[in-house]
Amino acid sequence: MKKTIVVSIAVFSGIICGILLISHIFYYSEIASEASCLVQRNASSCLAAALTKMIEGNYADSYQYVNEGCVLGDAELCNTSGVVLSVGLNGYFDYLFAYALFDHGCDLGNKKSCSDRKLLTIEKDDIQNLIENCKNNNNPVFCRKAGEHFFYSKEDHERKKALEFLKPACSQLKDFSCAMLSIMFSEDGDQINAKQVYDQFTTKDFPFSNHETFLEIKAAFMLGNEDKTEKLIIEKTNEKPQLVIVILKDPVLKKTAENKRLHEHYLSLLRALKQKNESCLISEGGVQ
Amino acid sequence: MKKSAFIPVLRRVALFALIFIVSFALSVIIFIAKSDSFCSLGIKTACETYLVSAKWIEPDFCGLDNGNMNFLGFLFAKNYEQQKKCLEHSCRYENPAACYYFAMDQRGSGMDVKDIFVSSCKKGGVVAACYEAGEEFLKTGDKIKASEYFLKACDRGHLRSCLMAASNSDSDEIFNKSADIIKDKMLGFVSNFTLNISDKNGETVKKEIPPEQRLKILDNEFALLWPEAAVLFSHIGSSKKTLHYLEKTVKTDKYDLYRILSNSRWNCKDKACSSIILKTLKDIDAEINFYEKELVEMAPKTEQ
Repeated sequence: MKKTIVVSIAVFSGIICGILLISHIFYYSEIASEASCLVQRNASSCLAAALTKMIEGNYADSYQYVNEGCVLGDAELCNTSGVVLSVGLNGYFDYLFAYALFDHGCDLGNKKSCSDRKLLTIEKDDIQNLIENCKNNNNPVFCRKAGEHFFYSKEDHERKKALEFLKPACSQLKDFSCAMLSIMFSEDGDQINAKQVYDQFTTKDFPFSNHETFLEIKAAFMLGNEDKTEKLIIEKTNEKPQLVIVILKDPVLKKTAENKRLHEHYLSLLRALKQKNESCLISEGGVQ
Repeated sequence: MKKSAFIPVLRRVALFALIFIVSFALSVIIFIAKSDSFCSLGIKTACETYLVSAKWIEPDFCGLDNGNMNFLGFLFAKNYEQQKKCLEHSCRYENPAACYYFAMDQRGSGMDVKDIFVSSCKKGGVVAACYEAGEEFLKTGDKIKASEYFLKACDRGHLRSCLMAASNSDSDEIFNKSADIIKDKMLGFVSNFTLNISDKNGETVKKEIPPEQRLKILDNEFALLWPEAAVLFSHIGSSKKTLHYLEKTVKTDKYDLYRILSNSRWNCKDKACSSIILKTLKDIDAEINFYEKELVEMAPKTEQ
């Protein structure tokens, strides 16, 4: 009887202590990393402290830790922090700060920082740089941009190259690169893969650019989902009437105008746009 | 005699310590490993543990940045469905970052995500939640509330929010505050931060970005909001930057010109501005006429 009580007390107190320990361990590890960064001048603790502060949304403090770590001469930390700020953490990004971090990382001899620095100033048509940074650094944003470049190519063999770049971009970003990929699969008659990647398209930033919305609509249309396409078109063109021009410019999506309801919808949107444009022209003194 | 009485006590203490250590270790392991299951049973500490451990061990698995931080998440394979479940649990237990991602994921599904963004913004932690809350208020036409939330994010250095606050608010105070933050970033380096680097001689130097590069970087950061940037710079009298963003707007999507012209703060009377605007409006007119004619010709087909 006595033995059972001792065993029960031991088990119970062991469990309670265990739960208490893990509940607090993370809290104290945060404090430890801050102290280790500032007092012991440990660069990787600075990264841990900086990330914790960023997750908490305390960006001013997080910059202080990043700065501390980067100044301590840790080129890797400069690069990692730059990536966090350029790709975005909890939707927050700061391209200027990221650039400064990459710049310093590059000065310290970190080659990745030198190429990542280009991401922030790269021009849309700098295709060699985009390819290089997608392949060497596996950066999904570069991959998407490269994929986008080839996706709009009029040459067949060039366009096929888009697949190679859109696949990694879609799997990591789950953004409109998945819509482009879905369109490409549909064009090849591969409806299974087209549907699979279309379903991965989960990032729903607002507002979409016309270009992104157009891709979403086209991907749905090419999957043969007529109801969804109609619903999407009406919803999106009501938000942005000018989308109707983008739709009519595309030889595939133009077919949607054969649907009587959409045909009327397009016409009314075009007429409203025309009226709006004329009133703008008058106020700018362009129509006599 | 004393020794023989001492040994059984010692044995009991040793047994107690052994059982204590074993159950302690087991509870730690089981609790961490199964914290997601305990979380789904509604145990708050389990959810917190799960979230915090996921934050460091499996960052792209739950909440941290929705899968972008691959350099930290290399240990674990991604699982979108699990991530979604985790976000929902964590949001229920009031983690602002999880709520932000949960709301982003649910956007477009019919769920009203505005309140989730608002509460995530109010609890702090996710500047972008304030921006998204502003966008949601804008959708409902509530410009006052929208600019209030944009300003919250702008105050904490989210530049896109500054642009949105400036272009959607009628209040001069909000406009000036947002414009100041943007100007500060464009002209200086970063308002609340300067990277001080020690050079070879041990002297501290400031890291500066050349103006040309700075403009290119901000062009990227302002992507999709070039019309708002054009309006802002026209109002504060920077004709070079106004023209720069006006040109970028019409080059990317000429119909975005309406976003500029319909803004009451748009204030560019330069010849250069007028000629770009007139040319673009005429191009739009020709385009609309062309497609209207095409559609009318298509009409008999649809009647059949």
